[in-house]
Amino acid sequence: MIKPKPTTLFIYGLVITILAFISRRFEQLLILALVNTPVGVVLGFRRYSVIIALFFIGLIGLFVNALMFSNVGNPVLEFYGLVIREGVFTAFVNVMLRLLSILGATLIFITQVNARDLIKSLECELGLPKTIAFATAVGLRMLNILERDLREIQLVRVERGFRKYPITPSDIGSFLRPLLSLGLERALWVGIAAELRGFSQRSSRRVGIKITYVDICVYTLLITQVITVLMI
Amino acid sequence: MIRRAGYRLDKTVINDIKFSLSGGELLLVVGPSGSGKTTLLLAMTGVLNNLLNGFVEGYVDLSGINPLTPEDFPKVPKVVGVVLQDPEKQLSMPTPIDEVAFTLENLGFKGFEELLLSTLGRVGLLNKATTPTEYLSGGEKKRLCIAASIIHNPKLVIFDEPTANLDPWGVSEVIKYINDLKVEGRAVIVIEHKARYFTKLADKFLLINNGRQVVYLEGRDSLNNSLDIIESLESYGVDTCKPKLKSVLKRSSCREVVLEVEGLWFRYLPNKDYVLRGINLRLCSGDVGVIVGRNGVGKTTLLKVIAGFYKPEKGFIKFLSNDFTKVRKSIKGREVFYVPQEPDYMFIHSKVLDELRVGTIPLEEVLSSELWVKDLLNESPYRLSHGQRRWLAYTIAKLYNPKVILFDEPTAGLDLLLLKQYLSWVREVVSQGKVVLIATHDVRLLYELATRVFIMEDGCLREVGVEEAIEYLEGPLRWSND
Repeated sequence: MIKPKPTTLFIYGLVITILAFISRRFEQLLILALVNTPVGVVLGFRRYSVIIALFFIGLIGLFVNALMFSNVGNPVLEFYGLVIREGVFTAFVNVMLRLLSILGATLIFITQVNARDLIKSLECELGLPKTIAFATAVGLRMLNILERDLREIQLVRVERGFRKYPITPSDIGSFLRPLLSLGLERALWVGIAAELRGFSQRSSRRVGIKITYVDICVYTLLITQVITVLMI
Repeated sequence: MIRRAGYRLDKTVINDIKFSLSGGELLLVVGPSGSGKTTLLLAMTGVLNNLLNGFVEGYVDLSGINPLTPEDFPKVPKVVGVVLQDPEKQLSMPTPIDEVAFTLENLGFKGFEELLLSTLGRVGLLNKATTPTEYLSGGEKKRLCIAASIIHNPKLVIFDEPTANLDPWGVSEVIKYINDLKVEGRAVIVIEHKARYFTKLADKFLLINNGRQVVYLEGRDSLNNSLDIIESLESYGVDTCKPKLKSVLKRSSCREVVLEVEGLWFRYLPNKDYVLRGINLRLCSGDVGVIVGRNGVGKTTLLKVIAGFYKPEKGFIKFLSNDFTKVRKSIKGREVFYVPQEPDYMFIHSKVLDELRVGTIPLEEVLSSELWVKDLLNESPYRLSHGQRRWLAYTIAKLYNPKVILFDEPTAGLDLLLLKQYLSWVREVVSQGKVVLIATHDVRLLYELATRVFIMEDGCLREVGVEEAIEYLEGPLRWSND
């Protein structure tokens, strides 16, 4: 099966992300989420199930955030003396849809793109600096290692009597610390290894963007979403 | 010649290191953990001062290139190949063929498809050229690192701890590749604390301690005449000699069965092959059980099933006669505690002091017995040295006061001095009636510690004598010792 070019998917992901951030209305965000999330989750569920699960757990924090900063408007619910107003639900739903759109587009990108092809595409077709292209490509490779680290951390947390999934801010900190410690050290050495393999001498030849009919389909989908969202 | 080098101007890490190397020669660099071996590698390749904002005073010549200058540093990759200790910190591409191609693309090679395939074939990865890198075994990843570092035909190849995390079969392969490089006329530097694997290949020998050159021997004759010096380097944490089997440790009788596993079957997914097949195991109070086997054979999986992380399909696990097979949730004061190979996975808190507050043993008692930790209480666990992090992980395990402690490759990366400390720690723990079960391919643990030994092959476990297990692990390396 012919896949879209890495450049095409990169542009798609970038535009959807920008669109998700500039869109303010529920209808706009709903369209983006409905198009991208199912496709992304279906493509990425097998390899990135832990990250997807963490995303949905993070929605709890999102709700708490909405409760603290957007509790305005008509009362909707009363819960043990706490009045929850319509602003909470509006904010929660809008931000959730925004994040779902970005999640979907990201999963489409990372499941369909090979790191080496990505470097070449970003450098030769888009003319991006090789440092950005390489960092993006290595980030994809490191995702699998990150997932493995996360699983090991979860096992030990349960063993030590702590929650398997982060719920409180303190939990999130205790998850992030080992991930960052390991990730930063790994990133440093990958960078050193790349330099010792001549990365700084890498020269790219601009070839311009070449597209296939599959790329045309992706761009058509992208343009349709852009027009629809901007017209609403 | 490096007069001084370090990561910060106010702290010199290495001093007065001087050596030379020609094509076809192998320099063996040894020293205890923290002696400056890796810093030497970074200094002589120009990485320390050009990339890490460190400093290097002195002179380095790599085939006419001075890597210490910004003008010459970009030329270093053309003449040098570097194989780092941990493949996960070197591999950056999704498949082996991409990984080896990355080096050639960087250096401006064109039309290299045949070279890619021949290099992968040379390291036995031709049939896995397009396999995702994360599905390769540890030994295969190491071979891939070697391939990616030599594909452009460098004159000098540097190996940093090439045998780290490899089973004896993997070690044997690496030794063979290094020997082949030497025979081809390349200069080879091997940085290693398990020196005994390379003393017969080495043409030059350099011992570093506290950043200083302590011993430097040149020429095979000189090395052959100085074998007594080399063998006496154990006091520096350098593993130069084959361990000697202590009188075989046996417990006199089984006072109390602590861990019993019977008929254990496990697989990760219903449609996949079984990883564990009918495992039987019985350990008594005071036992040190050691499970040996090749990388990827299922040793870690067995420990994790025993620890309760995964539920077996068939069979049972008992601790002190209580059936724990179906226990899924964690409980404080657990009967069993699993210590992973990577100590960073263990830490929850941002301070050492908070890590020590957990478990069932009072903090005052901990501080009185673990004196090494007194000055580090307010430090972040992630800022400790690798050895200190390991020790903190072991201390945390002890704090939960389990009856059984499971260790997954606890001696990976430990030099001889740290290994001896670990052995003492385990002996002290089992003297309290606890049981320790270790999954490893480190033969040193068999010589020094094991009371019960098991070989794991094809998902099955069989108990063997210590001598048979030693032969099992040493056998693949026999040709390199001859």
